[in-house]
Amino acid sequence: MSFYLSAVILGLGFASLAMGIFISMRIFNIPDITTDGSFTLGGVVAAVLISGGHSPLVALPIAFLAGAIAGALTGIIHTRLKVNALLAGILVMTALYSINLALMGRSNLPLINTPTIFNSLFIPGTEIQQQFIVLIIIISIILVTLVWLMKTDFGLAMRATGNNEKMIRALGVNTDVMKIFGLALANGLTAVSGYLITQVQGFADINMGIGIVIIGLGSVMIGQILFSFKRKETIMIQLLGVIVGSILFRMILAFALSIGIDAIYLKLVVAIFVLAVVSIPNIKSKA
Amino acid sequence: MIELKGISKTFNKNSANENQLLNDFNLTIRKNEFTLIVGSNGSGKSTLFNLLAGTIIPDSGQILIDEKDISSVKDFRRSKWIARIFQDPLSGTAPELSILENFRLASIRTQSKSLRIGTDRKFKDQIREKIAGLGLGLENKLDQSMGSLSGGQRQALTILMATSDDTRLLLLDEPVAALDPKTATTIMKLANEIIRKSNLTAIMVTHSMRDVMEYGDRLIMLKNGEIDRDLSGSDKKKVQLNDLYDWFGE
Amino acid sequence: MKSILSIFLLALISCSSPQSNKLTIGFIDQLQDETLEKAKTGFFDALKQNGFDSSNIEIIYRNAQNDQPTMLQSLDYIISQNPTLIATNPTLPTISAVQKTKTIPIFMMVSPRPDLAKLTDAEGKAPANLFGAYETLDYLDTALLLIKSVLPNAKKVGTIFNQSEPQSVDALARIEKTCKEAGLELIKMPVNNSSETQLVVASLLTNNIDAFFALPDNTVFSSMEIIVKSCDDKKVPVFTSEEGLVSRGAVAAFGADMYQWGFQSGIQAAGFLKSKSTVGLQPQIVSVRHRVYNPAKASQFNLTFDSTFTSVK
Repeated sequence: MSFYLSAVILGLGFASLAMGIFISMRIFNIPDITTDGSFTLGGVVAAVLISGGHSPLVALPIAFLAGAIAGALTGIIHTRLKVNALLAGILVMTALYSINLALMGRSNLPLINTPTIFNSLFIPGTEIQQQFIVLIIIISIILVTLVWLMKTDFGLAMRATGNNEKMIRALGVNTDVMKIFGLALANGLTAVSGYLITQVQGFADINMGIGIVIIGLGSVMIGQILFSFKRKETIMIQLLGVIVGSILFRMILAFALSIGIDAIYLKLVVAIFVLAVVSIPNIKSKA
Repeated sequence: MIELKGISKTFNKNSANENQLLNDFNLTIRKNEFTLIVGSNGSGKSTLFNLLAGTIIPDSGQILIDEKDISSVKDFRRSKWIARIFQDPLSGTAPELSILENFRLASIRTQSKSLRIGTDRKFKDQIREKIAGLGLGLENKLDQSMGSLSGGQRQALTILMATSDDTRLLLLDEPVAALDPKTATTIMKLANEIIRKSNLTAIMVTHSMRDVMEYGDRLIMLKNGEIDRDLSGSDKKKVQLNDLYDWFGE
Repeated sequence: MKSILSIFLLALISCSSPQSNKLTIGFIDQLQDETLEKAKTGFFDALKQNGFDSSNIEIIYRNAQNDQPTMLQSLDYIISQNPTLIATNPTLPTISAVQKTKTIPIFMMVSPRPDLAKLTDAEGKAPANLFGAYETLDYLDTALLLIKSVLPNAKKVGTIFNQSEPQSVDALARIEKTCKEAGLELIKMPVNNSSETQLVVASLLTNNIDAFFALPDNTVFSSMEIIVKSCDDKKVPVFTSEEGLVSRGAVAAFGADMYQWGFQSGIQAAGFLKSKSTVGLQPQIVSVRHRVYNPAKASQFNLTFDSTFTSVK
């Protein structure tokens, strides 16, 4: 059982990344690949600060800030220098590779006998139980904060920027600044995910972010499909869907691993699962 | 009062396509006046419109609102004084946001978008009342997404949204051209009612001769970047459909 | 919704522990690679020689296909099956496993000495459940100095390395030091993945190097053929610390035999399986290293090797 709990824990760890991708891709309609770099950046910040003796609690906002700066950079390159969004993201992600290596001083940094956010908050229980509870708390806080943000006037302006830029400009919003903010927020959340995963796995590695944007996208897609039967798709429902999607993604992989499917085929397994979930409502309505 | 003084605008300078659309153009729009602008393609009416909205900056000359020079103010900043209705009925509203949320954004058009939650009960009641005035039955659908409404409905709401905050000038760019004839008539009537009721200063670009006949206090006809005819009050009322066709043919 | 429920049910059902009349052994590979595969073969050969094979042990093998979250979940699965030991190949799985369990014995191979992987605590102690065979950087000196003994007039040595591989970066630092002490000029160029190799090596070769040194680097492993061809065209011999690369075109090598590396770890693991106790067990330095040379390449470059070298086809 704790095997599937581990999968849930990983899913929660990646949920912040999924929410970040939700913001950049679905709210702002910006395909942002900075993710691979900012995820690693969050992990690197965590590893460097924690193994340097600093409190994990202090490292959390710093990780967020680091990711936010990376995202803002992509935003600035895209809006001010008029570089295509995809390219801007790749540029920053590439630059981050060197920055991450320089920060760590090596390509891999294990956390040996250090405190983590999980054991620093006086939560009782085994290591896995602590991880589960702390992750639930953190993800819940992020969820509630984002839902509140989207309800504010500022949040409405954010959503309109991605939905109808012409209109919101005519309503007085500097959409360039809005996009920069959006990318900063998205990548800050991604970095938080890196921060959390580093502490779950016990090390930061320069390659930990490779392919991570696909994982985020998959989670967002699964979440979208799961909750699309609800008539009223509020932001709360959508974000919950993303979180559940992230957890489900890891559970499917866990199941596939447990029955011995070669990891090569894992991505295929996910594709088939998503296809199944997508087509079932369509088949039902035809019947 | 809106003034354009000595406006010149050339496109594609120093190229084979160089085209000076406006040269030392002058125009004064009076407060609370509903002005219609007509002209054939290339007459400069779109350029005029975009200059007022701020999506184009003039090469020379000034644009003033109530004596304030806004010539170099960027488009999204001009929203402090100016509201726009686009020809595409879908572009004035955000489809994924609800009717209520769209109206909230419109109501803070001239203000900064802060972290307060503006869509509270009080606001919702205000908006419900306002929309009920349209007589389209949309006041019961405030939480529905804009995208679920028809083009005509969205355009009607867009026009109503334009009156939500302090508006010194309402720009309408062929607002019903993309709608079917029946809906166009309904929406244009509504637009006129809204403009009159709120006493707005409005400028509308149109191709519809019938609308020219029926609405507006002042008619301006543009030809080759210049004002060919400028009729107000009783002069405008006297204009016949045939006259319009003749003038266009000249 | 129903489909999701049924998947969950399936998951719960498959969540059962294995029947335990057989010993369970977990083996985790980071990626698919023919050189690393030799270590795995050696490990299981050692077990077989000591009486442990599929008749009395259950092997749970997972390959992470170079995806880190997959590696974590693979380890989660292996650990959930209560294995008697976990074998890890190469470095990253070792680090991941050490962080995942403090109780299950881990037998590593193709990994560096624990302190070199930053796995030791403040007092310099390695994790108590870590065993197996490791390599330090000392052998690199001998390997590099092969160049001087075979080409006494050599002045410049070229090499490429991937900065994201920990063992590669450490190896580079070591040979930099060795070159300096031996009076050789080292020209080094970074490469990020095997598709860049051709260009980087071409650029390296414009520096008139006398020899190329292939250090322990997965990118070098995977693009060895390109390196050899480019160097052949410029008449530059390739030396290396990795025996497996000699049959692929390097002239000579001094280094650990991958198969023997895994075999050594396997012997230690077999001993543990028999005695059921880890008392007295410690990580060991790799004991078998060869001097090998490639006769075809040797004659191509007019070089001779004495009897301390074993020939490799």
